[in-house]
Amino acid sequence: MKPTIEIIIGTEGEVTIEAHNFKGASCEKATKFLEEALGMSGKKNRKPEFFQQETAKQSQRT
Amino acid sequence: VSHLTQSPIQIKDIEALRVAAASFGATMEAAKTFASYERNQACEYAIKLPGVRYQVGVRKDASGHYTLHHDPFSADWGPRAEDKHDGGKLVEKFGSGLGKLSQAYSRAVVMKQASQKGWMVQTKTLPDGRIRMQLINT
Repeated sequence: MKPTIEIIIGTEGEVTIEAHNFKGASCEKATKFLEEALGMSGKKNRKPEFFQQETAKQSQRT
Repeated sequence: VSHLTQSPIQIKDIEALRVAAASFGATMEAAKTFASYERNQACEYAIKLPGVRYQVGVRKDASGHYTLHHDPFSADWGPRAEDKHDGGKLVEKFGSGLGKLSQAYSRAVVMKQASQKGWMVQTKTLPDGRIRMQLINT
């Protein structure tokens, strides 16, 4: 699965961003440019993937 | 009576706002004031719709971001141009609280950022009016 960012723009322009198929901190890095451009300062909801270790990712590949 | 309303989103990218305004057939120009019930309301830019006297004011706040302001008041009090209050036409076009314009702005920002990063964008309007954008790293 390719890394994907899903953005929902509400009817008043408010934005929520979700990153899919990223692992760990790379997800936060991937969405940072959008958060900065949109001036977002809201709370982050981290999905279970964030807490997955790089080693776990490597073992999945084998 | 002043009914000046401020939209909830903060604008960082003034060029994306120009793109959003253009998608409604409106133009945005540098201006010291914008037309509303209260005269001489200060702003940095005014967004104008053809054939509409009232305008959307774009103001810079203390943080350096911009906010959108408009007066939705409508009334016809006589033949003079200043007797025509047509803020309702702004609402008709840009949505209640300028929601549609704010939404178009956020969409323009995402499109611009995705294009700069070389991400592919799929956009879909959901039945409830929200817009879903999927950015795919190709």
